[in-house]
Amino acid sequence: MIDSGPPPEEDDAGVADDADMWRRLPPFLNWVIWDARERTFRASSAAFQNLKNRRLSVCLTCYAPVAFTPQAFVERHPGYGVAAIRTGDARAEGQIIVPEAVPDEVAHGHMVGDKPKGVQRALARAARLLLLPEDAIAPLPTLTDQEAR
Amino acid sequence: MSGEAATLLTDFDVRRAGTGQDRVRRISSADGGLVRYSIRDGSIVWLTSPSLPTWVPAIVDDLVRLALLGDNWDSYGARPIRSENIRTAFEALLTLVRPTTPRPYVVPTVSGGVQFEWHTEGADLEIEIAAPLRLEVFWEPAAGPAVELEIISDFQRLRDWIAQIS
Repeated sequence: MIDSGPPPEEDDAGVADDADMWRRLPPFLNWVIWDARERTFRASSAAFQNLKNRRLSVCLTCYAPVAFTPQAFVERHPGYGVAAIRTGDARAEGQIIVPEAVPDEVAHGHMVGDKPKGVQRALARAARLLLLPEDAIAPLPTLTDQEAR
Repeated sequence: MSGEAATLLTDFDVRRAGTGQDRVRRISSADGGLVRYSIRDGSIVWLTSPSLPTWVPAIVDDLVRLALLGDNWDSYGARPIRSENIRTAFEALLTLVRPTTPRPYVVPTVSGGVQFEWHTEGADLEIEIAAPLRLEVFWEPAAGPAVELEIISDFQRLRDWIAQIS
């Protein structure tokens, strides 16, 4: 018998394109950067790098309890920020959305797909910051030595 | 270090489950000229000079902070940052930057790598060290197409890009 492996994952069509997915951003690690061209803070591309199996953990807010807030999302993670990205923006970058509830997070899911650096950056640019991590205002390494003199 | 008037700035032990005791040390001479930075099984020694930006010691602090990260530092299962990646990142940075290069963001990646990021009005440059001797680079000028490539040995193109943001 040929082992064909697990069945291919399918995009959850029940998650609308305008539904938000949330991702936690740890503090003090420069996962929020200042984009001088756009003149805004945004998430680093590092926040959208797969850990393994082409998967990135997210919170599918459409499956979250009513009135679930970014603050509640990071309640057990002091200092963390929250980035939101619309499902449609992720799908436009070739990602599929796969719900996978876990005991502590019923709305947990995965954004599944290859994420080379260009895709990571596109996701980061499409994301909005709902909650800044604790350090986000502090580091602005924009002065060159020449300017500092 | 013999002969130099050294000042110990930080000296602390780092413990990670399963890897034994790591030692991270930063030493600077009295005039800030010599800095020695050791992580686990290797060390980096360099002389500060007019060819290096003054923010280099601050980058050491950033990298030391990454060396301290344990498992699951992002709450999603991220891996600790590999010390060989930290060392490679640091050495690459020293050989690539100019005195006028802006200070980069030092960013840990979930796979245990290190990423340097510059986001200037003229261009974005991201360099990820996911493994020693392998740099993944993304260059996006304000005008012109973005370029994504992996660099193993030829750093000239990367030097040119860093020159453009410096």
